[in-house]
Amino acid sequence: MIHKGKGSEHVKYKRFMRKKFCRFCAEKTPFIDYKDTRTLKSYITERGKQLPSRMTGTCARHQRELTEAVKRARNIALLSFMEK
Amino acid sequence: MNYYENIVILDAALEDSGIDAAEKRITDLVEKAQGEVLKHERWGRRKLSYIINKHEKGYYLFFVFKSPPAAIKLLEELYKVFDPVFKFMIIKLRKKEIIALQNSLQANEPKPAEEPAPTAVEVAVEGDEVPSVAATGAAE
Repeated sequence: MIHKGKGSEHVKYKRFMRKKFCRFCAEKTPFIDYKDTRTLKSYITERGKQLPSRMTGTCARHQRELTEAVKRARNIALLSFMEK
Repeated sequence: MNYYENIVILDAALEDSGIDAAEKRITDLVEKAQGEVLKHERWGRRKLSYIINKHEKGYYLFFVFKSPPAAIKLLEELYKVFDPVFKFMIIKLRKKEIIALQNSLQANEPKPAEEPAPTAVEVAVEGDEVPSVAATGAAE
């Protein structure tokens, strides 16, 4: 009984978080295109740094592909290395 | 034969005739090296995300071609000495990218493909992507 009460209390305090998922897996993207800057921009900060997968929920494989795409886009000046 | 993707940034101050000449020179070189240009696009004048060699703007050319690996060396040598080009990138395409490319090429041809629906969607996506990119570049 005591345990049950504690458990429900704990659930009460838990903050609601929507479950993160990998967008590329869900959409079954064949590959991540470095030319598609609109998609890439949603995975970088305002300063131009790449967001970690623990924030975006991207799976490990797609995070790796994303990194390559961001680096390619930076190389050809489609994305910046650093904003200001 | 490999598939390659090539982006070239030309001096934005160049006139249209100069851009035509540069494009012709690149395609000629690829064809001379037994390659074949499958796709070429002009993205136009865009603001660069960062300054390269004191350039703030550049004229983007985009090529997709099929060629033996030796052609890449020739291209890189050309770009090093070719004045209007100040930045370039050549990428070898992987399996999945080649499949997507072939699908898009098939869709462009008048031949009725087996599965016209998915390829048509892809073309539409590509079609609205490039001008929007150009528009954001102009807005910045």
